[in-house]
Amino acid sequence: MTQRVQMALLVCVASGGFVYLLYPRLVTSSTDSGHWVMVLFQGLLQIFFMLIYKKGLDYFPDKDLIDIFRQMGKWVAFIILVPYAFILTSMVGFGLRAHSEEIIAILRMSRTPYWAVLAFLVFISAFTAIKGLGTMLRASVIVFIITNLLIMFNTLTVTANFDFYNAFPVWPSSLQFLWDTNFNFLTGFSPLLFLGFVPSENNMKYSHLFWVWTYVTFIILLSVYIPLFIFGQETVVKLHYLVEEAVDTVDMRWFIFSRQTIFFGMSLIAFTIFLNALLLWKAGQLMQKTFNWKKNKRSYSIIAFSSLAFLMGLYVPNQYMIEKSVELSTGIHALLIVIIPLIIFIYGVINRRRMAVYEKK
Amino acid sequence: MKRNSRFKLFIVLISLTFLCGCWNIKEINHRTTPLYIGVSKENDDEYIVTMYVPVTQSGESESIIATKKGDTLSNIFRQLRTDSDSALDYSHVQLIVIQEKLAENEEEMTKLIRLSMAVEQLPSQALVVITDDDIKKMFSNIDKLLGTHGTYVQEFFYKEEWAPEVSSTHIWELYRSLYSYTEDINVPIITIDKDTGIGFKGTAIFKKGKLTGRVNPKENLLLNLFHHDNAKGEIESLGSSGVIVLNSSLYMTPSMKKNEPLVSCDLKIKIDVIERNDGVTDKQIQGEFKELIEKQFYKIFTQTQENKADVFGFGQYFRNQLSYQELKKWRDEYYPKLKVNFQVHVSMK
Repeated sequence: MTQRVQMALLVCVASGGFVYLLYPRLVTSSTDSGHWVMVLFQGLLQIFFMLIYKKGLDYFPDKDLIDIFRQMGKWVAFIILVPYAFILTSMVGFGLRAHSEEIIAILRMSRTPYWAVLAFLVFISAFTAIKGLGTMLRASVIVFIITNLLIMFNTLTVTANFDFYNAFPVWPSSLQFLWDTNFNFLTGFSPLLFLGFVPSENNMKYSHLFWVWTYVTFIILLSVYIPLFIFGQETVVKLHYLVEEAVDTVDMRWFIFSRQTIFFGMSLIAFTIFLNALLLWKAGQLMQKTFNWKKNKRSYSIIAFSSLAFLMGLYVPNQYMIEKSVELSTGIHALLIVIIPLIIFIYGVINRRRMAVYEKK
Repeated sequence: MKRNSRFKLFIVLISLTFLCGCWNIKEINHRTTPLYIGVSKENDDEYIVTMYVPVTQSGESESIIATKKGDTLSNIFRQLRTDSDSALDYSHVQLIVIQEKLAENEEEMTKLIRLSMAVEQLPSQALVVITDDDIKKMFSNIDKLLGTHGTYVQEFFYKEEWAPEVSSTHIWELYRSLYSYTEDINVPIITIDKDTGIGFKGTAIFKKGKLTGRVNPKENLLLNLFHHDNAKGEIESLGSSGVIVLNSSLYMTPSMKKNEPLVSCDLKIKIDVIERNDGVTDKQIQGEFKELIEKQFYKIFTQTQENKADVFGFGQYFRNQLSYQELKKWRDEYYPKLKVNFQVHVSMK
């Protein structure tokens, strides 16, 4: 029971890492009004795949994603899961690079080279990933509480500068954004596939999934609407780090810390580390189980993957390329979010039918 | 086993070396932190930047007022960085003073606003004001009268119930007004005051970086009312009496008929009479007060409508009634047609 709750919290924390970085920018750049409709559609898409995935996994109560693929055949597992591990690595690399640039901007460490921040983030993420899922699960509880307190504090103080009229018009002028490529990228910003990494009998139940989904949607709405309420759509598209700029507008001279973006930066770091530790752990797990390695070899593969991610992050030349590469890696991830749940579900149904026929005989 | 745990401890202790701080950090006593920055323009192509920097040395606080001239702003900032006695750090800037001549130039002003938002170190919640006076003199006047009193500017601009006509504008608000379709902004004008440091002389109205008009402090109070401030504490002297405002609230009902926007504003004001001539009844005072406020409102409103500068922010109330494409045309097509039915309801204590 507690493990299930911990798992839900871990997914919530990891989602935070996805949400604050590019999400608000992509949403505000693809629609000029009625942003909540886009968020809602995205949420519906997520819950749709989540349900299919969960249903598919439930056909195999004691197996995880990798076992199921291996049951399908060794080559199927190899073709899908090994590239998946590399996609996860590229997401870690490019995502962390983007995050380290943002952290430098938020904490005003303009003289700190990005590679130092990148190395720090990669190191801690890899360390956490090597420690294994159990550690992440236990730590996620305290991190969830702390980061939510910080975010609550930020949100409350920012309300001082809110002008709710800035977020109008309420309704989108068209539903054109559903066919926008940005909309597809957004689908990739989700740790939904993590569900498959724990056998379904120990995994979250539908009620947990629903709560996670509600929390994540709420966080997304916050991250999109905080900048909107403050700046309005016209200005938001001109800014780079939306949430950071929005939080920075609050006059906090009465407080010991004159800039509360520090709190935002702290929670961002926590989110990022957990997200990337989770991704690296997933990549390690994929390699270890697909090739049937011994347990201790997983940490070697995690170290290899994190070094690869570090190099990937290091060699992205400029801000434009960072954004493009993050979009590319999450775009492919989005594709996997569509493909993997469908494969599992269909295979589950076929398997069930075969079993039924077998039993009849 | 024991050796292993010692090794682990060693690794943990090594990671402490990461805690030594940020990269290339300068301690606070090795930084020059300007409090106020003044930007002005002499002649046609020479900028002047003035900085007011408090310096604390052996317990006594002094200050430096540095001035630099140059052909571009970034040149001057580079020059200042080169010549300053230690690392320049803009993260404590509270006030940016812009000379009126510079502010009147739309292009320069827009550039300046964009620059101040783009400089990462500069806090976006710093205040912006305009002045007609010599900026260097103003800074030295503040310094002479008040010393390096760090919170002086903050307190001057946030007097709320003590002086509700004073308003303040932050960099981020100015930046927002550059792009906003439906709202314009007013920036405080200050002058040198020989006795108190600086004096408040009303505000200048900016339409997307273009100075379009000025209002005096009394009229500025009305603008403040439209930005959710309270007129509480305002003292108004009518010909025959003096009143103090106890409370005020503004209700707006926007409506749109055949592309003709209409707003009915009801301003409810509760006043108390503090002095009156003999024989003046409450009713007379109420009537006089009502007339005064309404006259003031229509004066500013017609002036801003002519300039197409929506400083009251009426456009904000129509954001939900127009589509995003139509909002683009708010200033040019809808705002000149806007009718405002402004009514003041005065009640006595």
